[in-house]
Amino acid sequence: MRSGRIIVLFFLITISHDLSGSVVQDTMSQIQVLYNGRIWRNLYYMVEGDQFLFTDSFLQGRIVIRGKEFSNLTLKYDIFKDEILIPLKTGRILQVNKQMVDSFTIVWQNRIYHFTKIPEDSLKGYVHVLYKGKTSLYIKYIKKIEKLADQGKYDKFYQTSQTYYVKDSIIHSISGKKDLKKVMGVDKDLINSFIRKSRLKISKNNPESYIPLIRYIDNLSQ
Amino acid sequence: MTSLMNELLMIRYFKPGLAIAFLLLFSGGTNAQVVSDIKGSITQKFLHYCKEVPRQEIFVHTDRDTYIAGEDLWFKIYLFNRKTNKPQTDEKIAYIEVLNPENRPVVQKRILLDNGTGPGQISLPDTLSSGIYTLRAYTSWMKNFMPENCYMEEINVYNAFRNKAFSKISYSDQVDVNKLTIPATSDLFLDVNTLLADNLEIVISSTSTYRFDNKNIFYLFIQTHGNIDHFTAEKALSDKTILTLPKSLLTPGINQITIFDASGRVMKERLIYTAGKPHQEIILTTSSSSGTREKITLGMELPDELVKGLDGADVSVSVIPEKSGENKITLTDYMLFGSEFGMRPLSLLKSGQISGMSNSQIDSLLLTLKSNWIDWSKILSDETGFMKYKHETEYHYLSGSLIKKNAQASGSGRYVVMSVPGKVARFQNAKTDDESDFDLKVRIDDRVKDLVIQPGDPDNISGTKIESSFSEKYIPSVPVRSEESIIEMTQDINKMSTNYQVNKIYGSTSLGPPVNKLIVPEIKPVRFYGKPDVSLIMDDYIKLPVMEEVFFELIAGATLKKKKAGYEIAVFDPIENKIYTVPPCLMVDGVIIYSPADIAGIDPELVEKIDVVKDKYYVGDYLFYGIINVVTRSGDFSSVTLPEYATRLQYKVYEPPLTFTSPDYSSFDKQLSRVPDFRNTLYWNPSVQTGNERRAVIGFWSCDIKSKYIIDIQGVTSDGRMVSYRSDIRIE
Repeated sequence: MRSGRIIVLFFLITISHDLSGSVVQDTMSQIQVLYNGRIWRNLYYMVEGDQFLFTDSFLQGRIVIRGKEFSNLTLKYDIFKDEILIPLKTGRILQVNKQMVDSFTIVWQNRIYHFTKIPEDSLKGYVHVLYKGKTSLYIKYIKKIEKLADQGKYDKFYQTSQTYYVKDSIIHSISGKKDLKKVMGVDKDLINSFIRKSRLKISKNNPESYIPLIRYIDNLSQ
Repeated sequence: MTSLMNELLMIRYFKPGLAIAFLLLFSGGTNAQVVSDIKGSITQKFLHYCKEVPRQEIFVHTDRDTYIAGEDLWFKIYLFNRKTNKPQTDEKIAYIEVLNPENRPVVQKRILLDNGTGPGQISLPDTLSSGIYTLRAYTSWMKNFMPENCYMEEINVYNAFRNKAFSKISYSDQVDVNKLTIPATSDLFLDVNTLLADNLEIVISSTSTYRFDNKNIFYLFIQTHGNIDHFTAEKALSDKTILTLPKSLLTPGINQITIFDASGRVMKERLIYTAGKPHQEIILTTSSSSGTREKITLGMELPDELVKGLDGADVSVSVIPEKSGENKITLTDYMLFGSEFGMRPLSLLKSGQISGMSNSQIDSLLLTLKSNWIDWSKILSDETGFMKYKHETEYHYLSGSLIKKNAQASGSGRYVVMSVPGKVARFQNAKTDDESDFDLKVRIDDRVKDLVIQPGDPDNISGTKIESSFSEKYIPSVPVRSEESIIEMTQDINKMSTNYQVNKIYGSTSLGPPVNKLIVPEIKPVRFYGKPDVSLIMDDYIKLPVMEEVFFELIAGATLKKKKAGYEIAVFDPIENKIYTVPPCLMVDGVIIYSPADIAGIDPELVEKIDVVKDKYYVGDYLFYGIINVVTRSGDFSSVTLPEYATRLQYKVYEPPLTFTSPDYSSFDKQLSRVPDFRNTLYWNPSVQTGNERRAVIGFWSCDIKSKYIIDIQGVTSDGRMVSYRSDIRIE
């Protein structure tokens, strides 16, 4: 918990440092890069819950747009529409032009979540980067609407996620340890031996538990 | 109090007896507090000023200083930060121009800077009359301090066919420093003795009135290039106070001594010169002479004392006839003064190195100079002034102004929009200031850009004027052109002129292909409005005769109708399902147009696709109530007549540099070639890098002219120290 706080503090210090540097050097033109997008309007206010990742509040974060980093921002990630939202001074909310965004980061409960945009011809949209090395491990968070209105209740948002393993530019959907072992393309005994020796507990409910194994296999192939 | 006592104890140069007396005198805490406040305030203001008004200096290493009209002038620009005295690596564009004797530009170029340096060449028009021209160079930031803050060098241009009169610029003289900045006072005098070997003697003469009014206090402040070398509170206990400082305390260069009174007012200023440690800059190995059409090899080595632990140096090298560059100023000499002290020291430097001047010569020169950067009246008043021109570290800025139809119309706070005609819409806006001026950013590359700039709202605007990116501020001058100054074509100049004519006849040129390494990769453009709600590909549908029908039949959520007042285009708010009260943004090939009739008048056959964004869309604080972009098959905005309030220009941010080429006589056949080789610049290389081994070897072939040649090497080491070296070689 303490180390989490330190990470966040470091993150915020970095943010303020960035602000005093090049980010604010040319305000007018920088503003046009960041504040580029449609006005967001909530079309689902009748649906129970919300369409955002973690919370419906704005979270601390940063965005990289066409190679340029914008720090010290507050933003929300609408995982129903897969859009990033930032507040405007006017009180309105802007849906940042997705075509321009390279990646973004949000801080939630002292943890930093880094998202990257996957080109349109594959996953289409933002994914949480769990691991990036020779291969990559991503999670795609999605919210869907459960139709309950015909039962006299309110429709309801519910969240799902899908884990992806990327090897040699091929994206594999991973549902569990078996899937991962299959697509890793290495001797299963080697994998099992590593899991045993390291006493790894790999669970599909915690995709982060895949990371030590992926890192090990990445290092083997170096 | 303790800190003050420590400070006094640390003053090594104080007369020992006086130190004890001073300690006793400084027994009250109040005085110490005042001293600390004054020192802190002056230091803070000085540092703030140097940070807000950083000084840049440019040096241009040209191949020669004498040219024949029509020849190419090869150069390399070196940009330095005055405070650090090291290359300013973040600035990306330099402006270079040749001014004629009437002080007007005849050639202008923008040059890309990479790590503070940028090579290039200027082709001098063959129509130039003989005269002394001025080469000047500056950056966008330096434009804020023009005409003083720029590199200026006189170059001689001769034209054998237009040699009726030899004209030159005579710049108006600078004002004496002591009359400008120092308030008239006869209560305190400053004298400096720089003649001692290791120490500097500062003599303060003060009247009893001064001492009474200032509680015996004065402040001694010494700065060099914006760096504080020394700042202490001192006591004037008698008519004469002598302070002795080790010269090692001072940064080598021109040091400015300022005396403040007890309340922090400037009483006296004085410039002095502190020489740096002499060092050997380059070890050059080459034969002292060579035959014609022979290979000449120059071996360069940087001595250990200069580059110990460094990656070497990047230098520019020219090899030129003795008479075409013997008076050129070297980089190290130029940077001593830079443009900070006006043009007077530079003309003196041109006739000899600073090392050749006696102390009294330097002293008397410095008594007449004033820094046009470190100005205490500005520093102490905290007035840094408005900087109109930005640093060009990432983008080049295009400045302009909106021309109002009448004086009453407001020109400030208005939007100006810039589009790049094409199939991918790009958009940028700026707001005008109180003078109706605006700045738009342009990506720095060497591609020709097609730009359309127009007001965001054309009401009461008759035009959009784009400013020249070159400074139009010139040092006041008087062109000198009289019967007495009839050109004297000396034997050497006649020879150069003949060489040029012969090279021209034989089609010999030193202009080679562009330098490739500086080409900036193109970034794939992206539609500024992202993915549209409707993207109608015309070929997917049957052909319709007019745009009105296209909108009616094929585009849901947008209408184009002819009404009494003319055509109207509307977009429906997709959520409220009603037309926005404000008209949508209309575009043809990404260029904003304000007349729906322009879209209605386009032949649908010419249209490739129509994009519609139905939501309100923001770019910065510019709000669109829906966007309709009609993309034509040509994508070049040729279907619409450009309104008179708009400006369209083809713009190239910088010219890519060309390589210098010279004949190669490595084969026997080439050596026997009957084409004469009458090069006036034997060799030019803007970037010779010594690398980790601190050595470099370059080779070139000599020409057919037997003469003495100067080898002129200027450059910087990897840690930013300057290198200047000259040698010669004879071709026999």
